[in-house]
Amino acid sequence: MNPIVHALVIGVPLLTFLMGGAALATWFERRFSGKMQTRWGPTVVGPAGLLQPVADALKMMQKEDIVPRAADRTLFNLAPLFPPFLVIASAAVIPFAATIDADGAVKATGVVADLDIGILWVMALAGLMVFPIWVAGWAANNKYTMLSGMRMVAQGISYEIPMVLCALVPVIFAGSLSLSDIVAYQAVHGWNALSLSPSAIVGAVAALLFFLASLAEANRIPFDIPEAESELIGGVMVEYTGIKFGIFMLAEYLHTIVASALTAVLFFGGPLGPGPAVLGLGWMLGKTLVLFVLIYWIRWSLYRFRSDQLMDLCWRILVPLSLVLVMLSALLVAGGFA
Amino acid sequence: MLLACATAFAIAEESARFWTCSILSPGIVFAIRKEAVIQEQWLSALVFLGLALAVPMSMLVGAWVVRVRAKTNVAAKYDTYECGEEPDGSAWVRFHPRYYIVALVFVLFDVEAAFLFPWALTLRELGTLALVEMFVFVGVLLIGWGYALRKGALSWQ
Repeated sequence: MNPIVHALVIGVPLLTFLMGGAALATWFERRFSGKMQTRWGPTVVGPAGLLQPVADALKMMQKEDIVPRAADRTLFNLAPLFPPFLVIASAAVIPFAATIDADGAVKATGVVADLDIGILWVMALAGLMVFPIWVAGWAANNKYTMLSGMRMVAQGISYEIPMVLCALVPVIFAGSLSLSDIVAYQAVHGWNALSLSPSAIVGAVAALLFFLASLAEANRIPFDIPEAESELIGGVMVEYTGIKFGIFMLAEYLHTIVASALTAVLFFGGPLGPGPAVLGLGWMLGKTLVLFVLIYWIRWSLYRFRSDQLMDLCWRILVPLSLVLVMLSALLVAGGFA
Repeated sequence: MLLACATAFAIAEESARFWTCSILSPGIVFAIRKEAVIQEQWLSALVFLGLALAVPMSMLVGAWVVRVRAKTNVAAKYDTYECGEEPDGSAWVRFHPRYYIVALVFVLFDVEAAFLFPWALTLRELGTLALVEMFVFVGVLLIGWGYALRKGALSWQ
């Protein structure tokens, strides 16, 4: 198929899924937290409050656009463009379905661009995420956003290291950076984090660390000190009004979806599962949904770490532990266990 | 961030090869099937980048069309928000140096991760030699990590 047509045929449904998912995520978060705290959450707009995201979007579109006098106008207006762009773009390499070849091998499909450096693509875009957030925090020239931006950069770059190192574990097992190769490896050897092979122990710990680091990258509780609303009002978005504020929130919800999908592909077999390959899409979406709900469950169950605890956890425990995991997985490969 | 640079180089190289191939001789693109497939994937990725950029763009343009514009204004509306107090000075001030130390340590580990990626891909072919070399490399790095820990560079207080 023509690559441009291919990108549109797969890309437009993927984009619809992400945007619809993010809209539903705002509804889900409020309903879910309501249930957990014995209250209702949104119930007025539409059945069970389902149209609340539409009402929110319409409201934010109409709001007046206010730029503070002291702000750096250009950077302030430019910053909201990038967070959703980076998050959506990183989903381009995630395979959502599977087919079986003529010779019986499972092949991952449903991917916009099956790049041979898939993981690198995701990690590169995730690494760039600190820039727009920092620019937003600095350009507003507000003490709260400035502090928030500083904390965000410190946390973002710190947790990037365990995230990258843990993503290396499936790369070492599969011997490839391509996400579809990693899925193909799991089709033969069992899921990286959940199988009877001894490598699954290393895989499971790596999956846990990767998931935690993804939470930190997405600024979700327990790692949401950059926007801790009780001390910093609302993170770098404090001075943004209307749709610009909405875009930052959108990026955060998109991030939880993409992080869930990525964890599912790297460690839980992605579109693999019992039954015919046609069910691959269902398996992938199901696994993503389970991890997605887990993120929100954690958010409404735990308190947030203090700033120093957050950095200590990363540098004293997660970084050395993920280095050990990388070495262990290399030993497993050399010993023929994976 | 180093990984971002590496990817940017990879993208530049791939696209340069793709476009020179297609311009000089379209036949070359499909001469090697695998190469051609990889290059098609890069074109798809670029198209999707455009789609991803269109999302925030369309939201900003849409809001610019429909949003309200105040007829009259008060100066206080454009004040920096400081919990209702009058804003006191600029926020662009000097910061605690611990943030810069974290950035330095980050660069160290980021470079290391950039070295680990090609190693992880060739591990099976290079075998024990690569394994031993990387154990030495990571070992030296962990000693450095221990030194930074003892010196208090990783403590946040």
